[in-house]
Amino acid sequence: MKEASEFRAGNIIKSGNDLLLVLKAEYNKGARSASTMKLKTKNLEVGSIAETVYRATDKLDEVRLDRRKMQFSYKNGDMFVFMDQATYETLELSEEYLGDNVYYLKEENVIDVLLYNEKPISVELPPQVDLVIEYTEPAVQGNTGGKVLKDARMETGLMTQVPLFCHDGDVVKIDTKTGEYVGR
Amino acid sequence: MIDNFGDAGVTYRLVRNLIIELSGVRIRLFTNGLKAFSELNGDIDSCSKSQSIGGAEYYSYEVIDEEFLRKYPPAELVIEAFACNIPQLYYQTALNSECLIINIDHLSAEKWIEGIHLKESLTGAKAKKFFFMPGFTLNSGGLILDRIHSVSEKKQFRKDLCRFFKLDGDALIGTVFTYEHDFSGLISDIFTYGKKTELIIFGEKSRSSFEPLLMNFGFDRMGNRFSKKNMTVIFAGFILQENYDLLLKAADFNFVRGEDSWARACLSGRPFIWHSYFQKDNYQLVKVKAFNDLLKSYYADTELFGKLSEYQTVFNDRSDGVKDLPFSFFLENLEPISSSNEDMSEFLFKNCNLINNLLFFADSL
Repeated sequence: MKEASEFRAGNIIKSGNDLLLVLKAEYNKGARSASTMKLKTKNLEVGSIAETVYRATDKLDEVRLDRRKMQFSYKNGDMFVFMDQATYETLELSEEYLGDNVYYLKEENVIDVLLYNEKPISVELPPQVDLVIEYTEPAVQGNTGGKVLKDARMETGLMTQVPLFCHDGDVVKIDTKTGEYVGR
Repeated sequence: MIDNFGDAGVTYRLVRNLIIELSGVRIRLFTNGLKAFSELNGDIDSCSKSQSIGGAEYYSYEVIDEEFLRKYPPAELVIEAFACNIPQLYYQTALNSECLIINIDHLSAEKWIEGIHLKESLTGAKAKKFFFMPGFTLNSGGLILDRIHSVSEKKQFRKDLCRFFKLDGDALIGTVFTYEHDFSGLISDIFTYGKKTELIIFGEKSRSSFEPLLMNFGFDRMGNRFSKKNMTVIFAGFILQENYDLLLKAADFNFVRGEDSWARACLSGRPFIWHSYFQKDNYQLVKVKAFNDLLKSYYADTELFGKLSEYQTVFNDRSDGVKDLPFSFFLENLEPISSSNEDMSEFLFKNCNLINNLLFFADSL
């Protein structure tokens, strides 16, 4: 069992007899300590997609899946192709199954591919990834307060916020759980 | 229950309104803080672990055991207020029955609440559970409206209020029910503004914020009444929900806090400043910003709204050394502020009825 707040895209929840693949996990800080976790999930048996909500402290059953270290090779349409570096075997995963994880996948990165009944269903990301800022507005002069952030689009399409001193082309560290800027 | 009169206040109000809407339906309230309910309703005995008052049954958490649950199995509809952690035995029994569990969460003006309102929380058991998010918009759960007070009721209450507290009916009347705050700026600004102003202070936290200031400013004291220049400050005792609601409507301006009095102030249509519950890292400012963003749509005068939102933001900033902005703009603009707040109140009464939304949703399942 693990707390709902710890779940992220790629994890599997067991609810009754259903296995649910988390496609998107959104944490919202409520009043006092009553924070919530909104999860977009895909039922692995029937394929239905649903949005569910939990208290951040709710305990959910996580299913541990088989995993294989593979390199993300390239994207082919909406399919992401991964290669086992030892056997050169390739596996494909669709964007639908990867959910928000697509924003953190860079070609040549080696990550864990998760398998259910020997079929790839998701990936497990490292806690942080390095991404290049593709576009961000130039800083406005005078607006230099301590925690001031500006919108930025990363090379993978992720929209997030970065400090004013960041520019196009900078490589920044992004938290794969929250999508937030961590550092340079 | 975390906070005596906020959490208890909202749930008591919910019970009162459900009794009206659901005649003949048995309503049981379980709490770990009966004392707060006994303050809200003098008929409730804080020492009695089970009692039936005014159409509802009130139980202390301690009564819940297997024998109790055999006699009174979990209801068809179980409302979990503010993720309060229902006693495990009751919760587990409810999960394994065909009941509907609805978690009514804290009130917020943030947009994300619409995204989780009425979303299911999978239990993996027989019971179904959903999140219900109170709010100020069409896509939220709304507010407990309670009842609309007529203009004549408001006028009569103001007269009664003036008689009871020996107030001057022509003076500006303000109420303060907040968390701890440095009100020295407010007192100075009222002196400078010059118009006769009478402030009624509720709750220990507001009282303890004012007490030392009144000494420092050299107010004359007569019992719970303090006077200096054009200003009178009165420390009031606890009053019933319905009277507080009317008081907010009868006053010229109000300072409110937390959740229940904030909702009431929004419904009152009167000028007010909201003091949000303090959160770690000043996170309450995110909540205040969301509320300011929501208020903005009701204000045609952008300059006035700018000052109001800035004042409310700084009023809620608990960083060291932060002082309130001048309050004079507020006192000078009570009419236009009131007009905008009346528009919000009208929208809420017309579109945001929590009890209707809740019962409609429960019926639809």
